[in-house]
Amino acid sequence: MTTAQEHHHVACPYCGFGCDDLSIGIRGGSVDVSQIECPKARAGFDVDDKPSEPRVDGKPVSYEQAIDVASTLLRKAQRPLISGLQADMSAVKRALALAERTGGVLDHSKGDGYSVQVRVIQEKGWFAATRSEVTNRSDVIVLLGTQAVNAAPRFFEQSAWPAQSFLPDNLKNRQIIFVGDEWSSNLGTSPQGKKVQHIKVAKKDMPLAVGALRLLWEGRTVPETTAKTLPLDQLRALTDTLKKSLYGVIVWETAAFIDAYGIDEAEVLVHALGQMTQQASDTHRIVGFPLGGDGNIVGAGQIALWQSGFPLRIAYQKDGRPYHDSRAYDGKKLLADGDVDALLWLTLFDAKDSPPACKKDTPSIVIGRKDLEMPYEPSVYIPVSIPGLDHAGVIVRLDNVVSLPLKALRTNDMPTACDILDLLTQKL
Amino acid sequence: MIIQLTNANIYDPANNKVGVTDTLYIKDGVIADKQEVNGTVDKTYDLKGKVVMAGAIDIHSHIAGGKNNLARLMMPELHRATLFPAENGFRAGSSEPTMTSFSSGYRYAEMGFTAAFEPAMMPVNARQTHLELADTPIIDKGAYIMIGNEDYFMTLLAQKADRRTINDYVAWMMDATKALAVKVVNPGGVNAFKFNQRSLDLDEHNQHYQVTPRQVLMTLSRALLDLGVTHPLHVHGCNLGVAGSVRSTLDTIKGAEGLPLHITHIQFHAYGDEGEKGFSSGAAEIAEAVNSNPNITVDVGQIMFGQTVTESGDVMHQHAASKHAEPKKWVCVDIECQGGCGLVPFHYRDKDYVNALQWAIGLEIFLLVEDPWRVFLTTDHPNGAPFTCYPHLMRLLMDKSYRASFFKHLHPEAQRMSNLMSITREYTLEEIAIMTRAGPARILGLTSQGHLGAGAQADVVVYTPNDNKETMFAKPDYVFKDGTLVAQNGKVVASVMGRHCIARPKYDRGALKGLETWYDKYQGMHINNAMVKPEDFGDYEDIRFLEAHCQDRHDGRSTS
Ligand code: SF4
Ligand SMILES: [Zn+2]
Repeated sequence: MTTAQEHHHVACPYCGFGCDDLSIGIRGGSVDVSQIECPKARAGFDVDDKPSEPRVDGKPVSYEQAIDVASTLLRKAQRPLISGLQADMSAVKRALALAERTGGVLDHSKGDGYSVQVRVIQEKGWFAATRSEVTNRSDVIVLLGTQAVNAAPRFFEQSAWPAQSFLPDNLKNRQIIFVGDEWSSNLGTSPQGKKVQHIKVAKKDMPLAVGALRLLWEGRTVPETTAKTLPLDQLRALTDTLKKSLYGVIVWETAAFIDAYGIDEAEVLVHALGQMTQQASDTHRIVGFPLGGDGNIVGAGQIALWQSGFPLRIAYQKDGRPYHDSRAYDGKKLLADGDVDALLWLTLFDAKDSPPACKKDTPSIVIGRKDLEMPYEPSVYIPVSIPGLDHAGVIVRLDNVVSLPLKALRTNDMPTACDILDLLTQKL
Repeated sequence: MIIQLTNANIYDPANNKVGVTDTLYIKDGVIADKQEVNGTVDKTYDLKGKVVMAGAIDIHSHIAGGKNNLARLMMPELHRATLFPAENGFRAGSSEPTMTSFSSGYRYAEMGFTAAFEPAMMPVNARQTHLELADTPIIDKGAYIMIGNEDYFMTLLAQKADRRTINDYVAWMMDATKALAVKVVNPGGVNAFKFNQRSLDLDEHNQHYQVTPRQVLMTLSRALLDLGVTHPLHVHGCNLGVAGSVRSTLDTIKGAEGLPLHITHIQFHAYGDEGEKGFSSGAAEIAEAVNSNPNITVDVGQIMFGQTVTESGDVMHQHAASKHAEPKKWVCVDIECQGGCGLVPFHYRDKDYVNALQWAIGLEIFLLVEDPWRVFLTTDHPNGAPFTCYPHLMRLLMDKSYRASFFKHLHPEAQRMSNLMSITREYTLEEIAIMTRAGPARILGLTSQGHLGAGAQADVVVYTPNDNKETMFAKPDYVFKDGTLVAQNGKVVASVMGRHCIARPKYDRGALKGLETWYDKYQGMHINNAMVKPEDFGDYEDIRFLEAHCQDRHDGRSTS
């Protein structure tokens, strides 16, 4: 095809925020990304349609040969890890069926942040809201330890400072307050010239600040030792602002908490924030909006839930029964410790979602984009076409309920991940 | 393929055939007349002494969608206790109360149910709901779109939009989300909660839009009538679970002024506030109102004692109920300027006064509503109990001494406050066949289901009569779905794929400019991306749609 085509209202799978308003030109097989402002989206869509070759141990082979070898490796495995899982719903569905059949462990490359949130919900729960509620309703947005843009590059343009809301006063009066260490000032101003307020809390003190906010909400005294290290007056003012708000939103990024404080402390923090939303809801409308959800992890989790009854991090028994443990079945760790004996890594969105390190004798099968960055040569590599560019599919946005249709923007002769997974399953 | 079922004792009230012994013919998955069957019979089942009915239909069961998944996510302890392996080509999973999708299909089929309908699909969740339904095997399924709390709809009402504009919107919603019917949950109240209103009675105003629940109900009910949609507005009323809710429920029935309404899980809206504990049964008044208003149909939402997790789009009342969560955890979500959901685990106990009375109230309603065509068997799965307790519930309705054996264990004060023991009615097989087959099919506009006349889908269930009706209904001898034997002696033997039932009233796409602008400006989604199109599903699962009967639109709008 040489004709040029313009696609509008294109949905984007390159972060969990789930925009659907991209305009993308296709000329021949190549993608014109010049109209895309978001850097993550631009990188994701910028890939040509030239065929690529499967490899076995680094040598080019046919698709048939690659599938043959992959199926043999999977057949030999006692407990394969099936992960990555950055894929559209159809491919995830097949990967899950494969895990059930092979007695494999199912995880996602973003499983750490997800599993923290899962545990918080399993423990106590929270009061949350979805994206367009934040966009339209909020009059106070508190960014707790996140500048949002790493997780969702278009958060400010789309949700914090949108062009309009059906509740115009809430938008006009909207205050955005960042609680955290350094603030990039170029993000700090709305189109109307309003600034993000910054309550400076050193990174190490964030857990204390969250604790203090909870005490202040309840009208209790903050212990002096804590108070000394925190800008208590500002936190008190923040509490007052929240108490006066019509619709307050607390934004955080679980993955960033994990990076900063480790997984256990991150869980304590998210737990506290969940509790805060629940407690505040007794009298106020204050909701949580956790950022994340990259690589369709939410969608993958949804299929896992309706097919097995459990969220991700499932170890299927040989008879197919799903055992779920969000700590024990951490794929990366199982792989590093040699507790799984093969890896099937499926990844179709982020080209940097490289397969994790394996033990030397653990065979690895990668089904992925042709531009996937590979830190090591896997035993089998099978390049496939990309959902939302080469073929249709569905993903689910970060806020759990909203799914987006990914369209085929061009034709591509490469097989889809579903084609490969079907053939692989047939051979088992 | 021709199958012949001889000597069948047929209970097919839709065709006025009750207790008649006859031969049934199935040709290529469809019930056929004797004259049509001229080939050789491939298989004969001699059903001497067996009772034969059409496949049963569950009109209200939360089997799919985001809130179901949140309930599963929140309650791994329930799923760990009910794991089952993959066997004979059937998928593994876990079971009650928040079944996995495969489990729902298998368990329904094993009990002789061949259709079930998810009653609370959020517009933004429709695509996902259909994907999940596509993983729900054997049964036919479908979903009711939950509207009546969207900021767009409230804006239309606040601006006194023209009747046809509203009708176009409702019809578009049904088409966009591939819905079979329309449901409203706490009309206008879920929206009011987002403005921090904590309750909203039938004639109270949503503070922001100045719209009342009554306006929402009347507008939507009339819209469906105008559009020719068979299923009347499916109403989850104003005061879910609230003592005294019986008043607003009676007002709703009275205020319908003859417009058709289906009031769902009415047990949860049938509470008085009398007695020492301020909680009493409103069942008698409710039943009387239903009996004297032929425009009203209801399903009960019976509770059973045990652990479950409640899930509802009524985030206002789920939030209030979170104080009684057991175990102590809950999730609420405000969803996309359209609605919300709330998940609250519950443990119903027969020694708890309120729970005991809830159990009795449900049964009282079943037994006091006279017309089995207008009352349907539901537990509001999983909110009152999992659907797997239907055989037990049928026995409670069909056997008064069995009822008494449970009643005597109830909280003593609840026993005093219930008149259940004075009701001697026992449901007959015919009445069960009406309330679980003929009735639901008729009220959903599903002309090829719920009966055994020529041209019907060959969804056929064969039972061995038994005085113990629970045993009889729990394990049918045979269950056929579209002519395929899918379950035998209460165990699945084959898996087939059912259809997604939808209704498609007509609308004028050109008249939806306002909606299009709304999506552009506020929803963060383009209107076309809000529409469920199976071609977007990629390689998921082939989806077959079945269109329910719709009448012509008659509000004067010309549609294409
Ligand atoms: S913010 Fe996320 S979803 Fe939106 S365009 Fe950028 S990468 Fe895509
Ligand atoms: Zn319900």
